[in-house]
Amino acid sequence: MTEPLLSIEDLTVTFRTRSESVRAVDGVSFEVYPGETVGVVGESGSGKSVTMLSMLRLLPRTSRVITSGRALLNGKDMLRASRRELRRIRGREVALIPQDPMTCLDPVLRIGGQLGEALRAHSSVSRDEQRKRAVELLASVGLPQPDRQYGQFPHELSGGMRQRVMIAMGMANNPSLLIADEPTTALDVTIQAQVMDILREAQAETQAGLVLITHDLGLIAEMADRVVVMYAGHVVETGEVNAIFAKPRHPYTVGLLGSLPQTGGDQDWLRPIPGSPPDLARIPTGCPFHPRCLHSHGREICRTQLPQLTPIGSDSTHRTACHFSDELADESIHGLLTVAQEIQ
Amino acid sequence: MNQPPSPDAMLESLQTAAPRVDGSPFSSRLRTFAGNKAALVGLVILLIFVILAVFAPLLTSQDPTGQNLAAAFQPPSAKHWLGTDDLGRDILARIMYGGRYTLLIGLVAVSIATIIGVPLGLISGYLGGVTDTIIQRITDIMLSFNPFLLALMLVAVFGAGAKSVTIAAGIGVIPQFIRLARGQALSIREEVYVEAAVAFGEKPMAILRRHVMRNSLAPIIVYATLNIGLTILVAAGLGFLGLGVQPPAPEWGTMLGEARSYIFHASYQMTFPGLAIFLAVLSFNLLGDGLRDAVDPSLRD
Repeated sequence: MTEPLLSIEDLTVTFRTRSESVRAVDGVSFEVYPGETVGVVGESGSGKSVTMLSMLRLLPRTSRVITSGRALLNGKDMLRASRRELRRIRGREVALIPQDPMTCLDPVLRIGGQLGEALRAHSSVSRDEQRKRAVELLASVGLPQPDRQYGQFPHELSGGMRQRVMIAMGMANNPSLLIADEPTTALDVTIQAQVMDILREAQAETQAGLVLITHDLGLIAEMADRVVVMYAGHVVETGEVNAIFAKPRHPYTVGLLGSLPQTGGDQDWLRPIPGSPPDLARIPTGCPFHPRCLHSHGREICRTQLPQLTPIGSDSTHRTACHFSDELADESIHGLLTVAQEIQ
Repeated sequence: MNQPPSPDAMLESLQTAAPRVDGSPFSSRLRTFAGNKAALVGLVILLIFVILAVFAPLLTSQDPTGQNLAAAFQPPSAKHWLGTDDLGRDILARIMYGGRYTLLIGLVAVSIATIIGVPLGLISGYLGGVTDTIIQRITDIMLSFNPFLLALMLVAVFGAGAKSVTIAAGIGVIPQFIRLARGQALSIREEVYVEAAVAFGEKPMAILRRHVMRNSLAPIIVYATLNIGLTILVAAGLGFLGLGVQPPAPEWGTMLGEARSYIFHASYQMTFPGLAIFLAVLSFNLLGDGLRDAVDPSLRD
């Protein structure tokens, strides 16, 4: 196997406020390999965005943030990089495509100017070259009239077009890793599909790794090679997308999949996971998921001991953090859990 | 027979029918501005003052400083449209020439305040930390005096005269500019596009210059325009107290001060310079409001 592009090792992020400390990310480890798409899923507040932001060192500096662990990007630890190194790395080796395309473009700068800026940050190119490259980029993300869009202001573009511009900006310096933070939440479904196609094409062209942060399981199924499921700052299950979707081995993943509405069939109700995500300042002892878990049946070990991510059987890529993951191998249990979810 | 239009033709007609967005933001701003009646009134008043001040020697044959005691205290007449003052000088001529002082003082003072205050405020807000604390504590001290009082103290230091009044009025409003720019920087640095710029590896100073400064420009331009009015008032006030532009120079505030003794039997001597000050300040305020509407992209259509 090739070297991982990004290797996050035992990443822990704690936010300290005056009265309490909030552990948003706790002991998270995962890798991203070149050309691979990794989906990071989880409810709001599960730490998926914080993981990526802390890796980019973009967490707000106002909060007292304590980060430990390592985040190796091309072998370089981002958590220990100097400001100057960070500036060089950001945009060139790793690019972030932000969540909301409506606010991520500067309203007073023309598209061309912003794109040119992203280009100029990492290479000294002449104005003409810069313009040429910017128009090429705009064309490559499928904007209908790249020459015209080059001179337009963000408010003259639709949400989908702006998201494409953001992708173009992300691709401007051919980064080896792209991070897309819920890239489609603000878009309607047809545009979503188009944007994801563009993203996939861009990735295929450059063999970049792609981290897709989302809570849209459909998107994961369609785009990702591997999945990292996060809950309350912990990775609870990770593995190949097919394995996870076909044979989830963590009750939370089972619950997430079970909560998806089914087309056809006689389902009357959505099946949410009972309860709500924990307050990160008061994460339950033991397994953080146990108060909501329909599989724990009040067993003591769930309350006392934090389960570690352990490989399942011979498949070393599929790992889960549940004390009773073996019981979930029997798929009839999934049905029971799903029914239990419905009753709750 | 009518043939259904080809898809290409439909697309073409759609494209031509779509509202043409003018490529130049300047011209569309100009149109917004031109549609604002109040702002136009402000602009016209201002232009009249500018023309009167610049072309004063061509527009009047009267000497603004030459005394003629025989013609003192004349009410408005065909010869002296706005009358004459206690030393027989033509008030209209004095107001015309005086406009040079007033407009120049306002413009230069606000330029001083903007050039010094805005960068300080932006740096303070964007960088935060110790830099912010130091700049803000100094600003706090300056803000504890009102602009006029601050200018008054500075004039006491620099001495009276056109130059020192300009500098004093300018410094007097600096703290407001620092505060405004800092507030802008504080809110803009939280914007997603600033975070995105950081994530694309741009340098802090480049972000400050391109994103933070440009986005804070609209309120700063508006505030600067409104503050020209304020500095004119400060300068006139200093003139009125005899600390501003010194007689016999026809600065409007100074004229008011001279006319004060004759307010009951020659009220026109006080009325017209006062009216001039009022109209000048009004014109800048109207202009400022109009500019705000035109410059701020979020308020456009």
